[in-house]
Amino acid sequence: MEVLSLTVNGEDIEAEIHPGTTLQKFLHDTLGLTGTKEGCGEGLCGACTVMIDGKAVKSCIILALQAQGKNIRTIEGLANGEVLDAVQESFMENGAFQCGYCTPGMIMASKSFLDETQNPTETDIRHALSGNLCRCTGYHKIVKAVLAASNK
Amino acid sequence: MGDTKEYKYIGKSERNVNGIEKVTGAAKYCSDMEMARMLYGKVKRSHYPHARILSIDISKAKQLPGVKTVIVGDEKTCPNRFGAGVADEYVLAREKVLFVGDAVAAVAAETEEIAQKAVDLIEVEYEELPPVFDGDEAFSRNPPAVLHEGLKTYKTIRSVPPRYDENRPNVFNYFRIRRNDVEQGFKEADIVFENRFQVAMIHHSQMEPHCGIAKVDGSGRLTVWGTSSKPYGMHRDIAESRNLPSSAVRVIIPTHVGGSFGGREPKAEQIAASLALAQEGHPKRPVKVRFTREEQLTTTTTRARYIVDIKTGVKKDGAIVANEMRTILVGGAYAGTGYLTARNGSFGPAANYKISNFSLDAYGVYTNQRMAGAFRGFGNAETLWALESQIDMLAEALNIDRLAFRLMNCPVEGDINAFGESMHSVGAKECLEAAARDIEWGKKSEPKEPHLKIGKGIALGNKYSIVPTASAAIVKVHPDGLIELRTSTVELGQGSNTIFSQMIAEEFNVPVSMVRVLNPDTDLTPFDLGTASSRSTFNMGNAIRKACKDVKQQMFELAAKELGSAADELDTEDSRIFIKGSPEKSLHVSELFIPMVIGGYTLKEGAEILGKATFYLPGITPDPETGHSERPASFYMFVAQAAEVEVDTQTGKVRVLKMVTANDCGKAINPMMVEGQQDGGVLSMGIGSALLEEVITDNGVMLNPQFADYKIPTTLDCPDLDNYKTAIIETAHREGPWGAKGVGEGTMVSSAPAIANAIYDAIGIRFHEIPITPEKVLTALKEKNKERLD
Amino acid sequence: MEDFKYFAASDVKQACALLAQYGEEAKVLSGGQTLVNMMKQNLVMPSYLVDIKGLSDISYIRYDGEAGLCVGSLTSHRTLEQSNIVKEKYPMLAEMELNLASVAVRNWGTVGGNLCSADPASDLAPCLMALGAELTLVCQDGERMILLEDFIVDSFETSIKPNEILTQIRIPAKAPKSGGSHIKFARRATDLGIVVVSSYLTLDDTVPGRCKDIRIALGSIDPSPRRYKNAEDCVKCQKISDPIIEKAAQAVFEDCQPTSDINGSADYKREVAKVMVRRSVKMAAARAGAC
Repeated sequence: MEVLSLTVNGEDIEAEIHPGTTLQKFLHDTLGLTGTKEGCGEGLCGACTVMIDGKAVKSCIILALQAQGKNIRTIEGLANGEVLDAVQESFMENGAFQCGYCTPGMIMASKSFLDETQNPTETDIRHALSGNLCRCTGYHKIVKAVLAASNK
Repeated sequence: MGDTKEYKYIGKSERNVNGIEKVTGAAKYCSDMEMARMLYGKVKRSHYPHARILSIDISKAKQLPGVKTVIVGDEKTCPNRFGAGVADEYVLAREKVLFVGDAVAAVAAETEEIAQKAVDLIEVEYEELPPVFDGDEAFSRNPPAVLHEGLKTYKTIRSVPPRYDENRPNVFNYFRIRRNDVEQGFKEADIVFENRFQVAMIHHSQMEPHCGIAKVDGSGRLTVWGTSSKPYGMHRDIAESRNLPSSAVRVIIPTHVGGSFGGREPKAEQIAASLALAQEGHPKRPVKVRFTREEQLTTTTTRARYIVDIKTGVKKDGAIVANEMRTILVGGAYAGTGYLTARNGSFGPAANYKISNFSLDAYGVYTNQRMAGAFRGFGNAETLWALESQIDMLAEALNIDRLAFRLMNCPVEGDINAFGESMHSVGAKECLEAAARDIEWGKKSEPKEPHLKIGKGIALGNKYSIVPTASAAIVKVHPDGLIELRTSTVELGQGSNTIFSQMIAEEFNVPVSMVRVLNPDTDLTPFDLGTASSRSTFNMGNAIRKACKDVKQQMFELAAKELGSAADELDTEDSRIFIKGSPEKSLHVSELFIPMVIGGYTLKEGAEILGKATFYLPGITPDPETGHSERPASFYMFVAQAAEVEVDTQTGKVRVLKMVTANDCGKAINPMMVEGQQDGGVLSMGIGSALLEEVITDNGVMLNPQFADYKIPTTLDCPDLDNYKTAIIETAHREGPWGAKGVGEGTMVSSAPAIANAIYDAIGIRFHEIPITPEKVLTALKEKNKERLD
Repeated sequence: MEDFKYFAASDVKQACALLAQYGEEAKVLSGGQTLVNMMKQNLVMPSYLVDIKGLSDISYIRYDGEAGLCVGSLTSHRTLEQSNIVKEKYPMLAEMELNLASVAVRNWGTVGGNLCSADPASDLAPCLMALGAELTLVCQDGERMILLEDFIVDSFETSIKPNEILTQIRIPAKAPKSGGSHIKFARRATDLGIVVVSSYLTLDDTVPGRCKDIRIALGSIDPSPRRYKNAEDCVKCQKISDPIIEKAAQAVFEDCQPTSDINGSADYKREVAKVMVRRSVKMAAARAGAC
């Protein structure tokens, strides 16, 4: 067992974990932050996307211990109390989700990208989200939503 | 045409009523649910495609610390076979395994890791048997393997009984349509084409892998949670496969399910139920069985391979005089949904065009693969792949524009289809015209480089919705004015909760936020046939309206007493009931209730303001010899799609530059959600099935069981925002709620042929199989060049 | 995942000490975008894991006219992709990174980790080989340099010793009149390539349109990424023309050793390799200034 100390959505956490625990399992199973989902377990679908120090990463292929001392942000940490983040609001406005399973990962990837990119083009957005698979939407309204949020 | 009346909530793109949970991560899916003292289940699976089980040794597995239950297929765990149409499967295989991945045993343990280790310790001895994979071979009179020797002894469903074939032992269903005389038609034809078309096996790839949780409570009653799209179907399967009385089982589907597209057979749920029931001692612990992505892709139901032989005759003036088809749904080891898909895949060709002489023989056959059947389109995408490719070829042979040819032959209101049915609500022409307009049919684009070729294609399609069908709804008005809806329609992402809320909002004149939709729970929500066949808007919508009528009747009768009027003089808005014409004479819904000492509110009579209704549509069973019926389906959704593609003639790679879709859905209750269905159908599954997706197997083993190799489209594989257009064609249905029909099932039945027809336009090569991979294209181009040089 | 003992190294020296101690039974973890996946599937089961992701002093991008581009091995793919100096001097490197997996993988994965994994389908390796990359390997006993093309020996196998850490990748300074092109041919942009072609060409200073030097490297089509010297010899010291480029493409067609698998038959891959070499060399030549 190893001790893991990190900050998750602004809260300092300390826990004892098996070294083989992935960040996704730690967030989902140990902390109960179920927004960060396992969709494939191999880093291919993006349902597990969270931010480490503001950068989007695939938490299912990262060992939780690598988040030692870092700032993690999950979907649960995006809204400001009752106020949705601009990306969340845009997803609602544009109907950019259906079943919603890929949505937390999709929003985290979008948010991280928009935070570091000024005036993205549609192509930029598609590249930013190419690692997030969705089966319901064909990405059309997702791209629209992110483009709309980028203008805010 | 469409209903042009303006409504307050109907026809508006209201926001998803479950949206906040989804965008904030609060939404709990089955795989997110945790319960105290939960056990985790894993499955032991066959690695042979066909074998007799000689022995199963579970002793080492049972001894592993942390293991609580180990089960095998036997009289105790699964006494009865079950199945959607023919009861041919056990929860765990007994005596024989019939596909690579067939479940033979299961373990429940403290953690998934321990359960998996225990599974690996289970030793199974098999005697291999020769398998059959090829559709033609399986279909033959003397196949290399017969999967179900006892087929004729299996129970079958009464409402749509199967038809077997005396001479073909692997056939699990047969259906035929005969209209007039195809032989005569072919004699009259000026041109006759005969071709074979096939589709590869593809997987739904829902983002949430299958999951089931089962718990036996203190009284011995079993509750199962899952991702199934048919809670009552799942309920029946769980009860009947175990000789449990129906009331001993409760099925709950969470509000949030990660997609279905026709593929949510309750495989995980059944295993969880068996593990939960097999526990010894008390209290019994809940068991969760969560499939991995690989398990989902390799063992759960797929869209079947299809073999379609089609012969079509046309006259010089463009009339289609004869169409003869034989369709074989190459199913899996258990018929599952393939049972009905094989039969109902025939509806598409039967309804697509005016064809004076029509003959179709539809078969479903067993092979040693996992179950195959229902997938968005339910066999119609597969059969229309063949028809729409052939139609394109015939148009060219006749020297008639491919759009014009379709327009001259597509049906209109009142036309008789191959079932002998007079069709109502037919938006075929409007769909074709809209798609043609949006793709700019007739306008040619210039390729950027000499090795790139560009072409356009168009395709017409349709999808029926099932009969017989029943949907029941219960509507309750709470003392605070909230209106609660209880149905067993599953919110899969299609937006049923939202449109039902809109319907109730419209009926009661309340904001959508005053409506709450419960998730399916067989203890609380009444019967529904299932969330499939694009049937919910129409059927459940009608049930809801009827239930609302029942509620309003009760409300108005109660209010009439208070307001001193007759019930039929009353109306309601914003939770107030008022006299029509004198709105100042009103009361709030809460005033119908009396507060009681100790707490709570009651009605003096009748217990609750609770309305209930069933919407039942029997249809008319097709004649077994001709398939004829005046109502073989509840309604038809027409669709036309067009594509512009670019082919790289040096690598064979095809890029979809532009794609458009026009869908006839009747009144669009929520246009944004209709678009959502169109988007997913075209951009994900349409493009995916045409160009990228294929379950690749070798001796029954899937070679690409992960998203690296099972290729669904990513953001970079779809046309960009400006190059994708949707049109909603609202051809009202006289029986649909506000004229609505449905949309989801029909969103990809034209996609593959539209793309293939565009490829033909670009490079003059006709592909008879999908997916159309770059290698197939390059090989065909080389062949073509070779022929030209020879 | 099987159990293992985890160490987070605080600096290169400590990392080398740990590797010296645990040797063959240890694996080095940087971004883990390949390694963690393999460990989850029990394809790799180290008893010791030495996490070097925290060694920020081997995460850097420096350029000068003498040494060229020096990239610390822990530099993330994304940093390389977005680096202005990389975009300016070696655009093919930035373009390659843009199409490597996806942003989230590039954010955490490192260039050193990618090279040490030696995935035959790596996008990075052929690109760096074409650019003439040289690696620095460090252990307790000292350091050594090795060309990337000599470092990768086989499928998932490099010549790294169990006690060594890759610390730096160096690409020679950009010569005037040079240009490169990296093309990945894949079914989807996020896929590993079916064929990956990288070429880097330098024109002669005096004779216009003549190739002074060229490196052509392919990935995905052989057991490991490698240079194609036969193809290079077709173009080297020649005046660049379509027929000359065609010779190089044909040389690759004949030399490569693809295997048939679910991504395509060997014949198809060979055919596509030829097309990609043609396109890549043509583009490299155009960028170098040969018109």
